[in-house]
Amino acid sequence: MADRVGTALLGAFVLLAVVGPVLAGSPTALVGDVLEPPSWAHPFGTDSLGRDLFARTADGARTSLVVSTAAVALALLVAVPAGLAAARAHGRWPDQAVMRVVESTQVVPQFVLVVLLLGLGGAGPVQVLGVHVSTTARIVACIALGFVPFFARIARASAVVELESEYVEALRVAGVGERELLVRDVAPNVAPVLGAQVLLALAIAVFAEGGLSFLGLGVPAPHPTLGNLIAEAGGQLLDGAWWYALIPGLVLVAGITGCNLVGDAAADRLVRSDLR
Amino acid sequence: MTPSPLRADPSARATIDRRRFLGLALGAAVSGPALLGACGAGTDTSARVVRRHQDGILRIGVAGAPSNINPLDSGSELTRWLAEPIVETLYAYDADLRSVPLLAVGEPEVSADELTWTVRLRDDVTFHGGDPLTAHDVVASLDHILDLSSGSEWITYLLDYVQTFEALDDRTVAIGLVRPYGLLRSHLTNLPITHRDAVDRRDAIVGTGPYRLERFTPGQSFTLVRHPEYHGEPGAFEGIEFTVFTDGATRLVSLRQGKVDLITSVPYQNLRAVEGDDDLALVLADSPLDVLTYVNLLAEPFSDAHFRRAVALSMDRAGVRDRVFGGHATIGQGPIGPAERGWDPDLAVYDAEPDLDAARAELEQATTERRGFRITVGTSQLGKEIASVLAAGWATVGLDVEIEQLAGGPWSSAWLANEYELLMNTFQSGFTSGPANYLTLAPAHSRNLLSCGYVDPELDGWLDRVWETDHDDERAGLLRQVSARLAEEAVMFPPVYPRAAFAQRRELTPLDPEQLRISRLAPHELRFTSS
Repeated sequence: MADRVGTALLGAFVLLAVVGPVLAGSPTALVGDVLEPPSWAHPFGTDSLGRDLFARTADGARTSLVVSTAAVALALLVAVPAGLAAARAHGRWPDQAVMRVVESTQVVPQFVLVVLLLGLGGAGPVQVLGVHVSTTARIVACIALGFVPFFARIARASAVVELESEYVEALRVAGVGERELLVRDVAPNVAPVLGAQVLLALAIAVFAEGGLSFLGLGVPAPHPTLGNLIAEAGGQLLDGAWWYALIPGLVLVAGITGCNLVGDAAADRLVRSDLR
Repeated sequence: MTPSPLRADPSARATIDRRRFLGLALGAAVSGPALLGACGAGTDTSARVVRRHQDGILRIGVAGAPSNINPLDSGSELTRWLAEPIVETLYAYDADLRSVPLLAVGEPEVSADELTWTVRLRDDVTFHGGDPLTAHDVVASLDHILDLSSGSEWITYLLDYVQTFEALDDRTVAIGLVRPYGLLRSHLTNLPITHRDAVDRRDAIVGTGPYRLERFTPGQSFTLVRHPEYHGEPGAFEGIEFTVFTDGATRLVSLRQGKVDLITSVPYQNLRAVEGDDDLALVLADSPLDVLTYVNLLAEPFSDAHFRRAVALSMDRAGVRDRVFGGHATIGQGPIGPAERGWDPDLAVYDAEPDLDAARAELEQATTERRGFRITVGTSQLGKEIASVLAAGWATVGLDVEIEQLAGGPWSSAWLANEYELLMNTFQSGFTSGPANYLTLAPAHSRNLLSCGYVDPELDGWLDRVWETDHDDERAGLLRQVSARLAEEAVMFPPVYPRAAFAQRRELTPLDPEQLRISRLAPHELRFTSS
């Protein structure tokens, strides 16, 4: 039951993020009166400036999806090679060096680390070695950095188990090289374990992106995000504009809950298959 | 079908797994507000407020607090609303906004060549610590603001004009000028006089006003108590307490609940909520509240006059007025607004609605190839909303606008370093200029430190004369010319002139609209209606 609910919530979130912006008009255009309640013309109502909230919520969901997916992908790109390399050097100094770096990073809570990194550079684009880095790219990089220790530990732990298993010994006896062994045989077996965690990480990333935007550290105006929509809506509750905070809030909850439930179910399946 | 080993374990029922936790959280989210709503219903706020007033404390909710509370450094409303009951000036505005002596005795003596002003001080005034007011305190205050390292905002007013200042005796100050400076009277009417030991402090205010600063928690609250030795009529309240609520809605809710008696900077989107509450009074005042709008003429694209005019013509002024300020603003033209000296109600360079055809025609003549620019605003919600409405309007003529939000320090740095394209922010000028707005005009002068790159010798001459003359009518006439020129040349073209919004409980006497015209709350002149 929870699997189906999760799939439905995540599906609705992804559908809104992918198809919504195509169907809706510009999320920044002033198309209606201020604070119009939901209607056929504006299914999610309008915001305090008269912008269509369906267009803005869909665009915000797209931003959440893109930022969280990119952050998790970037984290995997860094963490998996690091974890595999550490596993290969299990117990020796490269392994210990990687693990100590990972552990020291994990001392700081992930969201605090992201806020700290973004706060140090200030909200807005920056120049790094002469290259223009947009705010969105900085957010992706900061969230990704928070996930690297998480994925690196999982990749290392899974790879250590695999490297000590009988089939790996057999392959070694057969003359398969260590690098080929890691890439062709160990990595594919580590992937399902990581895969189950990816959805849970996506949930955290969606939450982190929403939280950053809520705090004013997210994607800059006038582009909407679910977090800054909710932040803007707070003051409008006094005027009875319930839809302004509720609908983007529900979309954010759907995305986070959907990722959590589907990820949880995937982890359950993995445990069951191992027990068999 | 094999049951899941995890679910077969009876102990699993007692644990809170991820799914159960999500369910519990959802239930709490749904039921929590309903329970809280039920608990909060049925209280008589007005009676509670009257009971609270028995302690004689006036409570004011403000939007923020400066890290540096020295009123000699900043003319911003955040600093000066707090400092208003604490510090006083040599001259002050009377009920008709005429400058009259306060700490000074009589009018200043001005030498025949107009280069020396001599001010005599009262001998019955003491600071909050008990020390008498002397000419050395006035000199120390002037010393501080003319010290470049202090970073005082006032330096821009005095730097090119004031040459010397000295205490001739304990009760007499002489100010020597480089050239005649009629505007000095305005500055002496707004510049707070601080005890000489406190002029350099950023964590203390020691003045001669009816209230003294008793204690404060940085960024949160400030407590003022009545000064028993005050030389004038004592304040009606035992104390005044300022509490910071950065979120506008929270500020308003605190007023509704009777936790505070008065709030500043009411969010414009919430004005209807105030109007709909019988316990509250909404005060919309003509006040020198400006939407500072500067374009950088030193670089593309705004160095191109056709581009500038296209931007000014396609500005959605009506959109900003109606969508951001709820209709409580006047359509902008030049930099001088309705509450300020030099306002010209007949100036009509731009329509309320964007003139898209004229804008496109100007863009066709523009030599710059840029078809977009960056607008830099403060971090407030108001700044973001103004920029968002304007960007949506400019998009209709093909101008791609990037919105950049900067906090106070970086925003000022961008202004000083000319690292902006279009710079915008809201600013209450009344505390430094009274019913005028001189700081806003400074960047239009080609020789000013803050020059935006506009070079117009005739306009420079007008501004020099505005600074020099001591005739208000002549100054007002010149300011009208300046405002018109800057609008026509699309150098300064604010979208609107907003009305300042305040809200107060009805258990308090109304704010004085005349004082609000110079940004003053004058809280020490209010009274509780129940007493």
